[in-house]
Amino acid sequence: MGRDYFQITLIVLGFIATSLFAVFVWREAFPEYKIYQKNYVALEKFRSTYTGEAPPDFSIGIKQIVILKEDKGPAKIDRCISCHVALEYSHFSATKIARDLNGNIIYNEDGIPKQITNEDDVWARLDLEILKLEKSNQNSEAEKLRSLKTAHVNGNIFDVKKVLKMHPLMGAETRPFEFHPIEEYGCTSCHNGNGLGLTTIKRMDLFLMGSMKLNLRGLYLNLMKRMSSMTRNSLKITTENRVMMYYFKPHLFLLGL
Amino acid sequence: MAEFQGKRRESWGEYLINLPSMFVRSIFRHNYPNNDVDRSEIVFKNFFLHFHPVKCHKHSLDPFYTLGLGTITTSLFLILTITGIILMFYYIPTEDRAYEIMKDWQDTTPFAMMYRNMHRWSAHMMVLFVFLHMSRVFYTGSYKGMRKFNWVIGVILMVLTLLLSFTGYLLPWDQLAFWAITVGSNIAGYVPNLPGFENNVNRVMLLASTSVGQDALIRFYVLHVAFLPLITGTLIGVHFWRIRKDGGLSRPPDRIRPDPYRVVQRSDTKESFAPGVKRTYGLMELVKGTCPTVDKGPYNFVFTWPHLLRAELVAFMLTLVLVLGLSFIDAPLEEPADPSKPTNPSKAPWYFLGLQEMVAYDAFWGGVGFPTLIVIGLMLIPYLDRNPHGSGYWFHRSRYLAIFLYTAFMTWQGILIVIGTYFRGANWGFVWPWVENYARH
Repeated sequence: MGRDYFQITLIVLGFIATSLFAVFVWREAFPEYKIYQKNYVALEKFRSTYTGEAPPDFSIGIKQIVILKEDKGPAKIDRCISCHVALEYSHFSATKIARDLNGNIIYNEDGIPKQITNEDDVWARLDLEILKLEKSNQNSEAEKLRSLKTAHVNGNIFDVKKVLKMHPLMGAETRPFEFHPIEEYGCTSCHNGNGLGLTTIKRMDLFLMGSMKLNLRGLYLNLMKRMSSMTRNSLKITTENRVMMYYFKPHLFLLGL
Repeated sequence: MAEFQGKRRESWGEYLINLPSMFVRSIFRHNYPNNDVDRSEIVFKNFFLHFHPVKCHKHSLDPFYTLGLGTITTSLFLILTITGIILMFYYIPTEDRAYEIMKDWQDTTPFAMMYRNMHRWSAHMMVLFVFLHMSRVFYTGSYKGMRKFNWVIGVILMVLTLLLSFTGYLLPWDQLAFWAITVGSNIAGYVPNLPGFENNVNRVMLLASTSVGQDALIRFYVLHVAFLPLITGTLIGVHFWRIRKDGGLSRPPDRIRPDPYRVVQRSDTKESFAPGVKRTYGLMELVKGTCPTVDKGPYNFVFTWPHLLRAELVAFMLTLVLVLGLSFIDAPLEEPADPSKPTNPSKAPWYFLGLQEMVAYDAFWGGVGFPTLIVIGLMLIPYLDRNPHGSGYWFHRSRYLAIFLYTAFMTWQGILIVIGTYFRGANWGFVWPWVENYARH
């Protein structure tokens, strides 16, 4: 028996090492962004049940915007759209542009399009469907749909409604990114944060702490002003502006500036 | 009259039958080690095992004597080499790429964070285990007799481990790395300068510049991935080789030599010198003694395969489990390095915080004088210790003074490190560790 201790220790240690490694494999196999992407696919499928439209083509994987530098140097990469896959879809917005009977956009006195409730909003339709299913006592179906609204990540519960949401219309825009194309600006040029990160903790913790909103207010106001003035004057953006906006400085936020 | 013509040419049938075993034998020069001859040969003829002795003393296998500390340190070095090579495939040692590559890589490449964490934690653990191994060797008096110089090599290996860890610290190029290396290189700059030089020569040689920048980064990178590992690997080899030449690990002399017992060949793994010998032995010499030992092995020695190798495997697996377990704690990657924004306090890596604490009292003596004296003093221990007893015993009674001095010295260093790590805040002022401002290593 005395001699077997070594063997038993070896077997136990091998088992522990394998299971520890298995946890890492598990982590790699189910990254956070796939949760949101799967929810997105399910929501599109849900939408196709009542619109009759086929769900748009979508492949699960890391999505990124690569912005080459004007001159030389490493490209800037934003991977935010790996989780925020619905930024460009109007059916992920609670509001829509108001139009009159002829289909013309209704503007308010500032020249900004008026917004009204969007009846095509997937999230609103989802809530209605859940209510309907609960009334007819199809609780398992309702639970299935309700599970799309939250994501469980490392013990945190995140609101998927906030992840899968259309980008708000800035200034006189009538569709998302009309006057600030996402493939030209990326995300972190305005929103800061770590564009390379793919997890909430690494990329979005500043948002969660609330410090980023405060810092962004100035940027947002500035951008909105520029957007509305640009619509009046021209859509051209000078190179200087772009270069300035590419500058990556998350440390300013970490230091609370 | 028939003359021997050499080996007979095989027929095709014989050739085909013998082909698999011939192929296996062309790779492995021994049979499967299920008997004593092959147990000897596998160690003797295998490149990777041949730095072991064929047989080793049972005392060396006692896990409570060595605590496996040397093997654990070697295992950490192996893990560091493997994970380090994986990191090298991605890393770019330039100022404007290093940080972004780290961030990019660790967030998108499968298992990247695991490898980086393993590398980081193995490095910290290696510093710790080198120190623990050195303490074991001291407390068991294993540096005595023939082993004096191996202790010196061990001290050099300790310094190399610290340098390896220190040079690797800069590579992520975040604020933590940048300011830790700035502090570390400032400590190196407390060496009195050569006359006629504007900047401290020692510091400039370390950084290849007057401040931490691109030149320092490439210098630290080459030191970290090529120069220092090469020297360390070589010296580890010398360290092992000397242990073998000194007759294995230190141990107390065998007190009794009982009558040799006759070993019976058994079908299980009990060792013996098999009756069905594969070799013939000639008479070498005649010796005088009370007990002729025929058909017996040396008393208390067991075969390296499987006993020693199994023990080493256990130590390796323990290390792997330790490192993998620690790897769930993510290695830090702070804001990108910014020379215009010094952190306060700027702290060196934890194993240098004892030095930094001493530097706070006196720059030259704390940063240069004492550390040099400490290293030289450690190397001189075997030459100053005149007590011939106690080798192979934990805390031998005759060595009370040596043990007291070593323990007092190491406790003092440990206290300095703890103070430097947890009790020093902005401007190196005293803070309580539960006040937010302590080192983030």
